[in-house]
Amino acid sequence: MKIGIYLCTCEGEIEKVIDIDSLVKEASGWSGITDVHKDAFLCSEDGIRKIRKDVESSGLERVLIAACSPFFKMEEFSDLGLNKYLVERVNIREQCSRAHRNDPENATKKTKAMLRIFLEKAKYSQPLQPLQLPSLRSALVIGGGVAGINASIDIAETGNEVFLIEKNPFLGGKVAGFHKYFPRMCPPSCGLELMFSKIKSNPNVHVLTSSEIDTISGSPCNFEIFIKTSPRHIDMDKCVLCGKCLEVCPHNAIVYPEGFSYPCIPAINKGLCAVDCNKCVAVCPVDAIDLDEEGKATNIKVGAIVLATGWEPFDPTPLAEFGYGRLENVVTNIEFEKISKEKKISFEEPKKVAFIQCVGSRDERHLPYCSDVCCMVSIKQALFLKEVNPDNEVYIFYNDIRTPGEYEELYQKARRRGTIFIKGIPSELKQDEPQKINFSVFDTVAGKRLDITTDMVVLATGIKPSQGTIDLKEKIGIVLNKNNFVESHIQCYPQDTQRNAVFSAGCCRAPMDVSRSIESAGAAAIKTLQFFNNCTEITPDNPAVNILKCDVCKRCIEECPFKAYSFDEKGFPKSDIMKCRRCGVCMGGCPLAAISLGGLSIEQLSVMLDVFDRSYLGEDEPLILGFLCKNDAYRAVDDAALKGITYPPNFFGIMVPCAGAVNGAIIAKAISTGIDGVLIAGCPDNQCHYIHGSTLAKARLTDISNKLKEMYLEPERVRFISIGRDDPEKFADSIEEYVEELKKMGRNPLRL
Amino acid sequence: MPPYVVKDKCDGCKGKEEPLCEQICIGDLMTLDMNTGKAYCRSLRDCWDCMSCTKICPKGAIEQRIPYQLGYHGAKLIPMMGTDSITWTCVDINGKVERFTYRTRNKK
Repeated sequence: MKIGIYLCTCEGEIEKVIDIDSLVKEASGWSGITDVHKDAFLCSEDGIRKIRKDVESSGLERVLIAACSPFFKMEEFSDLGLNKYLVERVNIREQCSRAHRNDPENATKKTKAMLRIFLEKAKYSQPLQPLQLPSLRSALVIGGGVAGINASIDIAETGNEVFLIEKNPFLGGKVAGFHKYFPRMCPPSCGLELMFSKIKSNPNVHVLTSSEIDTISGSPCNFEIFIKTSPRHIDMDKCVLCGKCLEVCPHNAIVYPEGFSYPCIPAINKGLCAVDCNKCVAVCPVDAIDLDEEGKATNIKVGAIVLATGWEPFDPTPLAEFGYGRLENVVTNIEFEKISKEKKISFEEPKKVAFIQCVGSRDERHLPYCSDVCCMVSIKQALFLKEVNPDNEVYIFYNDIRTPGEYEELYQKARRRGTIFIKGIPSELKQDEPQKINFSVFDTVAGKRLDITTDMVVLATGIKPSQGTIDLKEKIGIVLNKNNFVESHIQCYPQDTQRNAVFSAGCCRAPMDVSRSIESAGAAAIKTLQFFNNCTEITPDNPAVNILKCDVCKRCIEECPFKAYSFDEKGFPKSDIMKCRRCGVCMGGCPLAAISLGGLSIEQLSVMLDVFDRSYLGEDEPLILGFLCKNDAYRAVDDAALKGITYPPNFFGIMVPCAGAVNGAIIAKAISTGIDGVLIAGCPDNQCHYIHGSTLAKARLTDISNKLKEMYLEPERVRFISIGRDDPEKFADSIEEYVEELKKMGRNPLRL
Repeated sequence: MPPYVVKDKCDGCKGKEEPLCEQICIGDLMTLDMNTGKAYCRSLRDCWDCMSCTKICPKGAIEQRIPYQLGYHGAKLIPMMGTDSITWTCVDINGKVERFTYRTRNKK
């Protein structure tokens, strides 16, 4: 095999520590090496040009770049004239010359060992080709509330197809039922009408109301969705909205739209009908009603999915002290919206209304979190009461008032208009006088007890994930957090979920107000479009199961953090190319070492250990083989070099995608061939980019430690450390400690 | 040498119907106890001591009890599986520890 080795001195810096010239001389003598070159500035245009020329003229089949960390100069080294999987980056700067700058002799020896090992790895590399898998450029948006509607519009307006599915007969979700929404206090019909007109005018949007998802199969780029649509019983083309059916229906079975609703056609809930009533059929002037209409089953194919399944209001009945359901005129904030919108109670005759905040929220027994919007909602409703008649008396009883950003203005306005804010939550609500509500409250600021009588109490209840969200856990296998909201990487990727090509928008992810919901819908739409665009080229480093070794124990299926594995036609586990995130947890967990990743196979790691010179530091120094996860640990170790932190050259690091990718058989081979210590460094527990890779690695290492103990070897020879991105000192200290402990333990007795 | 399953370490191979020890046992002796979810040997007397179960267990939960005739109490045989090697640790009744590493002929 023709292999070229290129050693960079990084403008002489690396050469000050490592004797590059002697390495060039030595490596030239190794078998299979066509060229060994030293260069001062390998990543320069000249340097790259030289490598390309050599590849062409000498017909090089593998290239080793011994220079800076593989995370630097990726662009420069990306096109050397051969498949990029046949180019091996050897980190002789960050993890050698800089890390061991105080020990040039041993740094040189370590570099030689590194070259030898990565040379062997390169020999076994395969020229993988990126896979071409175009995505269907269509998306499914589940949920027709304000988030779902906006996600659909955003996706459709960039020329892609969208299926918007909603289980109610009308779009609009909870916002359609509100009286006003903050901060501008507009009626929702205004904003929603604009959104609906965009949907109506865009042929890319296909709206399916009264519809629910039956099953979902397939994988990202190519999902197949089976949908069940309930019958509306009213012909959408014939109905003229005369309203006669609504007048005659004795059972309240007709759901009638408002002026701005979409689709603006009523729907009949046949479940509430009486047998043989047919009054509506008789009265309809255009014969639009068909009570025998059957439901429909359809299936669609989409490339990506946006979850916008929204929320449900919390039911305060369990908090018996607030009298919900027991006392008249104790209502929730959602009910108050309806009351004020439909003018069920006239607030023009002055009333005394008390709002109680945090009912059931920030409460371990019910909703442990804050629902974000309830303070603003109560202030909005208080401002409404004061506007209708300034003589309305309004009290807001609170623990904390949360009106972030410019919403503070509305809080000040409410106060100026005479809303009385009292810091203290009322105790039991009673009815001592007819049509009134009585309670006491301890005003913690004034320091005294107040006895209050009001006409109405509004309980500010919070936002709970909808049943629709919870049902999707079964249907799509999405991951929900402990409060049943859709799990996302809240800081950096809030619209992503733990499944590829599935994004989330709106309150199904976290409680939020209307403007944030719309923002999050836009973000989800962008992610969907990016997904369509990036789908054509897929990295080929996905795992492959060697079916000659596999015993179908199904451990890979169980442990995959993204549930990417399923059975193929032969009955063996297979990883779905699109669902897989290439973490390698399957490779690490397979008891038979039957799974290998495209760019890093068990065989490669095995041969690397075969050629690892266990005496590179001499006979008395212990050796530590380290597996560093590419997300945190490897970067932290690189950072150590940048910060001038040094650690002993006894440590030899290999990069893995995740700590969970390290297979026990490799560790066993390392120990049984005389390596003194094996370290796995992964992300801290709740920060693993692959959810539980770190945790699994720790658990597996514990098993290996136990085995070493049974073998009368020291269990501390193998260890796991969590290294965060900003923990380079912690790493260096751990290595110093580790080397000392290994010296005390003595050499590995299995050392030949 | 009858296999003894350490209950704390055995995870029933994630509760599937055929754990690895059951799949590999050539005498069809290892199986999953549906009540406890742990593996066990159905017939200790019929075990031929091949130790395939011990080698394959991903949690290292199987120990071999060496019979009186061969090693008596305290004697142990512990395999550790590498990618292309097995390291045997042998402890005799006097507590003397010896280790042997063999290359296996399977593909890596």
